[in-house]
Amino acid sequence: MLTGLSLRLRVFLFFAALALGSDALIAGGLWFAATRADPAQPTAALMTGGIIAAFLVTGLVLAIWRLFDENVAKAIERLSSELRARTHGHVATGIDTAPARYLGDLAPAAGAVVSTLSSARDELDLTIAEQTRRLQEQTAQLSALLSDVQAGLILCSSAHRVVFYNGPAVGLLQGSGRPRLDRSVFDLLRKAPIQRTYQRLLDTEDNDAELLVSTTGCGRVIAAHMRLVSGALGIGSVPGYVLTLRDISADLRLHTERERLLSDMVGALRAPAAGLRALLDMAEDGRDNDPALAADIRREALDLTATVQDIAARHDAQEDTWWPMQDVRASHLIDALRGQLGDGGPTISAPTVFLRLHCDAFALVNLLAALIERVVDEGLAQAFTIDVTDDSPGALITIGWQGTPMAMDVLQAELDEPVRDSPLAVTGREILDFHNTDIWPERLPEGRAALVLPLREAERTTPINLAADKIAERPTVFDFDLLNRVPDGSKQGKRLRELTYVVFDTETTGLDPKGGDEIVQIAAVRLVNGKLVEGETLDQLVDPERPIPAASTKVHGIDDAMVKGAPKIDEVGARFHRICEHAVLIAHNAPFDLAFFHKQADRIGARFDHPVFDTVLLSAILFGQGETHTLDALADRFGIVIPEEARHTALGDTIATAEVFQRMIPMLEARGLDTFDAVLDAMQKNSRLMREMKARIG
Amino acid sequence: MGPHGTRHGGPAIALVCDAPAIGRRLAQDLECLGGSLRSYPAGPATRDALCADPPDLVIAVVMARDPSALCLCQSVGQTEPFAATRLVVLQDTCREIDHRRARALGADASLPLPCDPAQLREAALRLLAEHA
Repeated sequence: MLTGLSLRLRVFLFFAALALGSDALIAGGLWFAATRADPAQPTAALMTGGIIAAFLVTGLVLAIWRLFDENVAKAIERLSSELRARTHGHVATGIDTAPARYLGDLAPAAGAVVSTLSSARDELDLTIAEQTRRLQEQTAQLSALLSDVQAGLILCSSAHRVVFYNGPAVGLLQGSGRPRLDRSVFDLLRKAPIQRTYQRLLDTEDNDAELLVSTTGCGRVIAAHMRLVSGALGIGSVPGYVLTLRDISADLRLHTERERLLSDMVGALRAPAAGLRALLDMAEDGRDNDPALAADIRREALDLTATVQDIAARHDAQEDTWWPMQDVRASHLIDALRGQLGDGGPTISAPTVFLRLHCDAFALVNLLAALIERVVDEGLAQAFTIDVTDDSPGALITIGWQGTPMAMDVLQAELDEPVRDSPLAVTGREILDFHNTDIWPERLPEGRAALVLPLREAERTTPINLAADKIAERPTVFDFDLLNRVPDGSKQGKRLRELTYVVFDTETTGLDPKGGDEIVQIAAVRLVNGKLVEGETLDQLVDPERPIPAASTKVHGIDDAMVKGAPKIDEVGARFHRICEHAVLIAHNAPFDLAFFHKQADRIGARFDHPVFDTVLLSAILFGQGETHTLDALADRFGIVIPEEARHTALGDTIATAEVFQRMIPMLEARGLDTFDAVLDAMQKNSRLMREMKARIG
Repeated sequence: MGPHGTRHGGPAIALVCDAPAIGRRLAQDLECLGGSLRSYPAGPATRDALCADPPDLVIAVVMARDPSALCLCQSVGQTEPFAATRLVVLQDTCREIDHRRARALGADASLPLPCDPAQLREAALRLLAEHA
């Protein structure tokens, strides 16, 4: 009934009711005093009446306040939160006007503003989406191109922070940890050579230089090429730089071993050869009937043969090769072979193969094509099958056909010929030697024959068909905005968007870390420059070293069989700690998750004493403590959809928390909480809620 | 060089080797096996001769990827006339890939050179026993 009245009239009625009610209660009190008045003590009844009236007036004021608080103050607070969420948090849903129904036209007016804002945003979003799509397409194409680059690439800002890296760089530096955006390159590579070379390039007119640098963790030797980048990619007059990396540890080791072998061989052969020569000279001088001389010759000859055999054995045991190799998918190698044989060439059929071969693909394709053509020339076959099979730790390439095998002398003659299109007139035999392997003919069942070529190194892969898969497989990670950031190492006074965050979540065996519950899954993502970094995600099952209760499995779907063989918390915790370096941690109900890490700090070998933003507390700041602050409620409030299959998985909840936090940043900024310190202060003011959260986990 | 050797009855063994000194030494080691032992050089003529009268056991010496020796190994290991013949390959290499190649060509045993005489006799006896 009251909703039909204007807001001003309703407020007037509130206060009129208060005034009239007070008047009535005071009048009642006076009436009470008049009827109970004792002529001997006239003030006593008056006092009693006054006290009763005062209590009743107080009660009336409280009742009116409660109505006012519920229907006006709280409603305004909720409405303002909703407006903030839609204005700054980019929430697309309409405003719930029911709680503000007594605020007259305010809620419908706010709804209209939101609707207008939403329409304007939709139009703007469409335009931006179109531009973004084009940019994303170009980015995807660039990433696809870069994923094919075999060399490790790292782009650093002038402050030596990583701004870009590709998949091969991750592989090259895996012993030192993983490259991560906005981390110092000196966490991965020794500081002195890089800093010295960079400074030299800055001081001279040179633009690039070669350098040798070792990794910080495993001491691998990396040959690097440093090139300064300026202009659009640099920071004003101080350029950043690109490092092109190539691991030469194996080459150096191989050359060292060969040099050592050669040196040992010369040293070891000299003495017995000289001795033998002397003895033979003596025999020529007519002392060949001397039995002692014959025995000496035999001894020296035996020494010589023993030395030669020892050196030959050492030579044969050397498996490494200096020839440059690449990792190439078997299917790509077969495609290249088809291309090399041409459209009019023999028929090639090959099943789909999910293996990546470590080889010189160009040389190998030329060799295989030459051999197939030789088989055709010999009249042995016109149609071939090519099977590349797992032959752990390598692979087996089998060129099969119906008919008789190629004769070994024909094969050997072909291998002694220079391979066509080979830039250095390399023979087939040399190509096989570079790969430390051989090829031979085999007779297969059912009248089939084959040439079989084992390769020493290969690994299983997953199918790829799309460029996106290819990029995900060998991620190229970059954020060029980081070039414009000058890090000072401190978080004090930093704007929220400048901070690096690690958003994480855990799944556990239960809710009581002190009672023996443990982590069964950890997930984490990094937010740099306010953006989620693709390709820097942790999603890891953890062996809790205790049974997982069925009730917990029901929640997160992880059972004992799934964590069997998974790494333990000491290993995963240490990995997670490395990811968290220099970052602000973000979690939903962070004290709960952190309690599990704190209790395992000794096993992990590191303490999680990072600054922490808790999305529960941030929600309390933004929406008031009286609201619901569950992750589901927040996701619902921000219009974030958590797929059902991802809910209550560590990664699903982590991504949802990250999205929630990303929406919260502009809302916090709009409230003036735009720096690290300001947010920390605001969280401290909600300390009651923080204490309650901590109390819940003991 | 034509085949030479003596027949004493028992299993027929062919020793194919292009290095005369090594061939003589191996022949000495194999004499105790009894039967007939004949020595041959590697090459097409030997393949034809062996094909005409396939022995029970062929012992082939492969020095430095000698194509004619490998070709003979392939004939013995992969062609029908030698279906009942056992093959031992001796190679002057320690590389696993070379021994794998020998087995793929049809060798029943692949041993390195220089060879332990006892090891060679044991391999020959085992294969002859299987053949019998």
